[in-house]
Amino acid sequence: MKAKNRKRSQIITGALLVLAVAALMFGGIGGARAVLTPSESYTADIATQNAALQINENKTPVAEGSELLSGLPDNINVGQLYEETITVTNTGTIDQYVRVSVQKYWTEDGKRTDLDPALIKLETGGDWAIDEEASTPERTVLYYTDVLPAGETTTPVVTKIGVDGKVATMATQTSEVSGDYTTFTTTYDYNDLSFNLEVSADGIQDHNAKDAAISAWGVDASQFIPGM
Amino acid sequence: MKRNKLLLTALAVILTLGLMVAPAMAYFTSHTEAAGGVQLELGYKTTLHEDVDGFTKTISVGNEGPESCYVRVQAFASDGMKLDVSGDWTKSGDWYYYNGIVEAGGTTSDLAVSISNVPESAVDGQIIDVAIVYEAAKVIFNEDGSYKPATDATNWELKPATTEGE
Repeated sequence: MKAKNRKRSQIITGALLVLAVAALMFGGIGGARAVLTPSESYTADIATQNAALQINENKTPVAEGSELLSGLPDNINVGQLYEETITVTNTGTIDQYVRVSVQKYWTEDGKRTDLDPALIKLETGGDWAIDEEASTPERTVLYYTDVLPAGETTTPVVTKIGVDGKVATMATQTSEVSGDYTTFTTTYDYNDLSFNLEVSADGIQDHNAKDAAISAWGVDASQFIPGM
Repeated sequence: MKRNKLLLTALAVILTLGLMVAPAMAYFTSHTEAAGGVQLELGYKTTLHEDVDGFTKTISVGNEGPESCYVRVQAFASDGMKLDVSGDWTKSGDWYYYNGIVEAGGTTSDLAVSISNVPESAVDGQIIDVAIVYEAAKVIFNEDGSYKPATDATNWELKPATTEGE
C-alpha cells in the first residue's frame, strides 16, 4: 500500500513538473520564440493604433519651438481682452477624451510666484468643464465634455486673454522740481514684467475610459464628462 | 515530506501560470504642451508744447509712449485778467479735457489760451504770466477695447503723471 502511494505521488509530481516545463516553454518566454522557415515569404498587414494630440492657437497648429501669444500686439491695452483661441486636435488614430491644464503666471528673469496670477485674465470655452478642486489662481484644469474623434478638433478651451486694469493702480509716484516745472513720475509695479500662458493637453482612449482616466490621471473624469 | 514536495511543485506550477498572464493593463494616452509670454510695458512720457504769439499761448501735449493716455489742462492768469480758451477740448469743472486719448507717439490738438482784457497800462516788454497746469492719466480699457470719455472722474482717481509749467 505504501509503495502504491509512493508511486502515485511520483506520477503526480512528474505530471506537475511536465506541466510547469510546458508552461514555461510555451507561455513564459513567448517573446523569444523564433522558427526558421523555408524561403517562402508572407506579408502581414498590421494596423497600429496611436493616441496623439496637437495644440492650435488661433486656428494654427503650434509648431515645435514656437511660442504662444505671439499674435498679441507689442503694447497691449491694459483692461482689454484679446482674442486668443486655443483648441486641441486629435492627431491620433483612436478617439480620445481630453483634459487641458492652463497655467498663467508672471516672469522677470524667471517665474515670479509673489505676483498675482489672477491679474492675468482668461476666458474659457463653454464645452469645457472646470475641475474646481484641481484648479488654483495660477492653474485651471478643464475637461472637454465630449469624446474627441480621431482627426477632429475641440471647440476653444481658451477664447480670450488680457491683463486686469488693476495693474494700472499698482504704482508709486515721485516728483522732481526743475526750475518752473515739477515733474511727477509714476512707476508701475508690473512694468516690464511678462505675463505667460502655458497649455498642457492630455488624452486618454475612449474605450474603458473611466478606468483609463483613473489609472493614468488619478481622477474619475466621468464626473466632468457625462458620456464617459 | 512528500506533501511538502507536492505543495512546492504545485506552487511552482501556479507561479509559472502566473507568468503567463498578460502584463498589467495598459491604456492609450497622449500628451502635448505649448507656452509663451508677452512683456508688459506700462506708463507713458508726456511733453508740454507751448507757443506764444502776442497775447495768445497755444499749447499741445505729446505722448512719447509706450502707452495711450488722457490729458487735461488748466490755465491761470494774473489777477483781473480774463482768459479765453478755444480748441477741440471739453471744459468740465476747472479743467479742459482733450477729447479722446493720446496714442503713443501722438499729440493732442492745439488749445489756444488768450488774454481777452489786456490792461491798457501794459507796456512793451512787460511780462504777463499765463500758467498752464496739465495732467495725464493712463487709459484703462474696457474688455471690448473701448474706453471711457476723458471727462469721466474715475480716470483721474489713479495716480497721474503731472507736469506744471508757466
